[in-house]
Amino acid sequence: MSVEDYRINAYVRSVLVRRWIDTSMVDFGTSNGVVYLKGMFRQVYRRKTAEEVEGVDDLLAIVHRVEKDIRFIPGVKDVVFRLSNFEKRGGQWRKRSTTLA
Amino acid sequence: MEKKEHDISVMTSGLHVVLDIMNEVERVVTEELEIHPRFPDLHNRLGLIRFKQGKFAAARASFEAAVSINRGYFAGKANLGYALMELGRAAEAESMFADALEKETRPHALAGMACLRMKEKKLDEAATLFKEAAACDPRSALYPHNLGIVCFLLGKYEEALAHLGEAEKLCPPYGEIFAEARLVVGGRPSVEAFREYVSEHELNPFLFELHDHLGHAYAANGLFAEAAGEYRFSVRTMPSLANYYGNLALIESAQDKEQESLQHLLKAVDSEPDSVKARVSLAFEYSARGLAPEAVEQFEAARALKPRYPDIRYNLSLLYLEMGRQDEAVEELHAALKANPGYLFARNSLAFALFKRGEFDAALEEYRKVVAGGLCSSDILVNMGMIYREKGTLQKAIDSFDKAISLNPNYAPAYYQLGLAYQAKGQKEKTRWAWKAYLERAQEDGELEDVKKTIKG
Repeated sequence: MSVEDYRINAYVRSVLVRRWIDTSMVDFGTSNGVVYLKGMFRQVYRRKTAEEVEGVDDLLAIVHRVEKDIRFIPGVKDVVFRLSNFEKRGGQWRKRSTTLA
Repeated sequence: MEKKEHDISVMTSGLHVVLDIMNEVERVVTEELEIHPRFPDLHNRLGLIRFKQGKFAAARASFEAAVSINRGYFAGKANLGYALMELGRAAEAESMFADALEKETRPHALAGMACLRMKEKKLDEAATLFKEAAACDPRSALYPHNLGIVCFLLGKYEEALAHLGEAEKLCPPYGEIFAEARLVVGGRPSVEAFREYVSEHELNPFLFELHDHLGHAYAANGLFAEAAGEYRFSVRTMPSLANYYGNLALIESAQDKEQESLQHLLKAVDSEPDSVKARVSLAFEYSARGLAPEAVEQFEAARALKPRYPDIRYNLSLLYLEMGRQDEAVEELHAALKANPGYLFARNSLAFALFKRGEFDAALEEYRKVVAGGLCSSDILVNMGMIYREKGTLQKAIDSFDKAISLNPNYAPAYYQLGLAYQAKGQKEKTRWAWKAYLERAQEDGELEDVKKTIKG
C-alpha cells in the first residue's frame, strides 16, 4: 500500500481546519499519496488584516498557503485541486471567471 | 488590545484594526445563507444573532424561516418559543413548548415552560418544571443549574448552592465558572455575586451555538483567551461537555499545543461517548499521529452511531487498507458509495484497492466512473495505463501514460511506466528517453535503482 493515505488525509483535514476553511464546502480525499480537493474554497472565519480593511481579498493567498501546507505533508506525491471558485494556471492561483459546476 | 462588548482592537501590520466579532459572525452567516438559502441551521443562527442583539421580532422571523423549511427542527422551534416569550406572546410560546412535550425533547420543553413561568414571576411553578426536566434527563447539568437560579430568586440561597453543586458534579467546568463568579465567600453564598451571575445568565440554552461561533471568530483572529471565554459562556448556557472540550481542543491545536488538544479530545469522548463529532475528531487526531489501531477504534464507534455517514466509512477504509484488511476496506468503500454514489474519493480509493488486489476489470470500471465524474490525476491515469498494459492493450496504456504526463509533467511514475510499455513494444530509444525523464524526476526508491542499471546497460 502507499505511504499511509489515512494519515495524509488526517493531516489535510488538520490543515483545512486550522485555517478555518469551510470543510462543509470542500471535500477531500487521498489515494496512493495523491491528495484531491473538490468544491468551493472559502474561509468561515478569517483573520482581519490591515490589507483586508483596505479592500484586498487575501483568500488567494490562503489557497496558495493551503496548497503549500499540503505539499509539505510527508508522503504526498501530488495535489489535485478542482475548486469551483479558484484555479491554478501557469503556476499562479487565480479566481475563476466562471464558476465550475 | 482593548475590548468593549464584542468590539476588540488588535494590532496587525503595525496598525490598529477594530474587530466587531458579532458583526463578523453575522457576515459569515449572511454569506452562507446566500449560498444555502434553504439551510434551516443558518436561519436559526441568524435568529440567534438577532436574539442576542435584542431584536426579537427579527429573531422570530428567522426562527420561523428555519422551522418552515424543516418542521421537525426542534432547536428552531424552541428558539421561536423563547423569541415569542421575549415579545410578550406567552400563549404562543407555551404552545410551541407544549408541542414538544411528548417527545424525547420533553426536558427542553419543560425548561422552556419553566422560563415562561419565571417571566410571569411564578417561581415555584418554574422550580417544579425544572425539577421535572431534571428527572427526565438526570445526566444533564442544565436543569439543576437553572433550578439553582430559581432558588436564588426565591431567596433560598443554600438550596441554590446545593443545586449548583449538583450541576457541577455533572459538568465539572461549572466549578471554574462558579469560582470565577465568586458565588461563595467564606463558605457562604454571596448574594451580590449571585445577583450579578443571574443577571448575565442566558436562560435560552440554544444560545450556546452563538457563543461557539463568537469563540471561533476570536480564535481565527488569534484571540485565544477571548475565544476560551466565549466557549465558557457556551458550556454555561448549554452544558455539553463534548462540545466544550472539542472547542478547547480546537484552540489548542491552533496554538500547536498538541498534547493538550489530545487530552481534551479524550475528555470529550469520555464525557459523551455517543458524540459522533467527538469520536471523529479524536479518530482524526490519532490518524494524524499514525496511531492506526486507536483511530480505527474511534471510527468504528462513530460508524456504530452513524452507519450511513459516508466520510466515516471512507476514512475507516483508508485505515483498513493500511492495516492490510483489504476485504473490510472494500466493504467500507462500498458502504460509503451506497450512502453517496457521487463520492468520487471513495470510488477512487475503491478502484485503487481493486487494482492492488489484481481485480483489473473491476478496478478499470471504477476508474472510468471516477474520470467521468470529473476527478482525474496523473496517478489515476498511470494506474489505468498499468491495467491496460496488464490486459495486453499496449497502445491504450501508452496513451494513458502520455495523458498522465501532459497533466503533470513532473510525475515521475508516469515516465517509468511509459518506459515499461515502450520496452514491451520493443521500442528501445523511446524506452531510454522515458526512463531518462524518469531519472530526472524520481525520488530514491527501488525502481529508481533498477532503471539506473538498465540505462547504464
